[in-house]
Amino acid sequence: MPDLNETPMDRFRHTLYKIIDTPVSLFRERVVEPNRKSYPYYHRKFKRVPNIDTCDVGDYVCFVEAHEQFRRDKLVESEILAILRQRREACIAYEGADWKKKCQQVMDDYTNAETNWFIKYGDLGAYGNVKDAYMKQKHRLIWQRRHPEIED
Amino acid sequence: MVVFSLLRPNGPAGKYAISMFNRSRSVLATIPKQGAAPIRSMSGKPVFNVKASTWTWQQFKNDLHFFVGLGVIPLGLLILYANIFVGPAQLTEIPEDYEPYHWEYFKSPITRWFAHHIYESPEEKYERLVSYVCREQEKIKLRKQEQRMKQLMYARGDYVGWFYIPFTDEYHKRARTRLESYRNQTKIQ
Repeated sequence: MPDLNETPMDRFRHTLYKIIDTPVSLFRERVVEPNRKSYPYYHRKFKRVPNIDTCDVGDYVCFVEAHEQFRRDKLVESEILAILRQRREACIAYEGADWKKKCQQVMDDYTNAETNWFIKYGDLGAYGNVKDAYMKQKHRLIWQRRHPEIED
Repeated sequence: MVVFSLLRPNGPAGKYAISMFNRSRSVLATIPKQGAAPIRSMSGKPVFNVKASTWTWQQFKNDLHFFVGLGVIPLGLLILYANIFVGPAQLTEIPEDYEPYHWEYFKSPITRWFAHHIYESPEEKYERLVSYVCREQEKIKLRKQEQRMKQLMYARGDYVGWFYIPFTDEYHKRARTRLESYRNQTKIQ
C-alpha cells in the first residue's frame, strides 16, 4: 500500500533492500517452511539435592551429588553476574557523560552481586569443591564472631 | 674485448647471416633462436623434455578435489537436508509425567542425532558415577570395621582370631616320653 510520507529516497532504499531480500525470503517461504517438520525440544530441569551441610561425615554419595549441584549453581550464578555486568556496561555506554548520576542503581546491583559471588565462590581455586566452600563459610562466620565490631 | 659487435647473431649482420644460412639449408636443420628450447622427438627414442615442474599445481588440484568432493559437497548436502526437510526443534515446556529422552534437549537435528546415537546420556553417566561412589563407600565402611576389629583383638587378646596361633602338644608329649625313657635307661646302672 502506498505510504504517504515515503520519499523517492525511501523508495530507492526499499527497492535495493528488496533486490537482496526477495529471493531469500521467497526461498524460505516456498521451499523451506512447508517441508520442515515440527517437533519439540526442552530445557533440562535439575532437581535440588541435599546440600553439603546436611551430609554425614562418611557419606561420599551425598558429597558427590552436592558437589555437582555446587558446580551447576556456580555456572548459573556466573551467568547472572555476566548479565548484570552487561547491563552496567550498556548503561554507561548509553548515558555517556552523566553516567555517574544515572547509572548508580545498576552499578550498585552489580557491585553487590560481585561481592556475594566472591564470598561464595572466590579464592577456592580451580579444584575447589563444595566442602572447601562450606569450610570457607565456617571460617568467615567464626571470624565475624570474633570481630563483632566490624559490621558489613 | 668486444662489447658491441655488429657481427653478433642478434645484430643486423648476424640476422642477415642466419637468414642466408637458413635459406641454403633444409627446414629441419634451422639454427634455433637464442633462448628457445626445441621440443621435437624426431629420432624415435624417448627424449627427456626439460620443462618447469608442475608439482604445486597438481597438488593444488588434488587438494581442491579432495576437500570439495569429499568434504564440502557431501556435508553441504547433509546440512541442506537437515535444515530444509527436518528443521530445528521448537522450545516447549516439559509436559506433566513425561520424561524426555536425553537427545530431546537439543535444538538442531544434527546435534540430536549425535546425542542419540554416538554420545552417552548425561543421566547415565551421573548415575554410573554415583553408583561407583556408593559401592566404594561400602568397601570403605567394611575396611574401617575390620581395622577396628583387629585393633581390639590385639589389645584385648580375648578372641581366637588374627593373633592366635593354634598349638598341639602331641609331638611334644611323644618327644618327652622318649626322652624320659632314654634318661631312665641310662640312669639304671
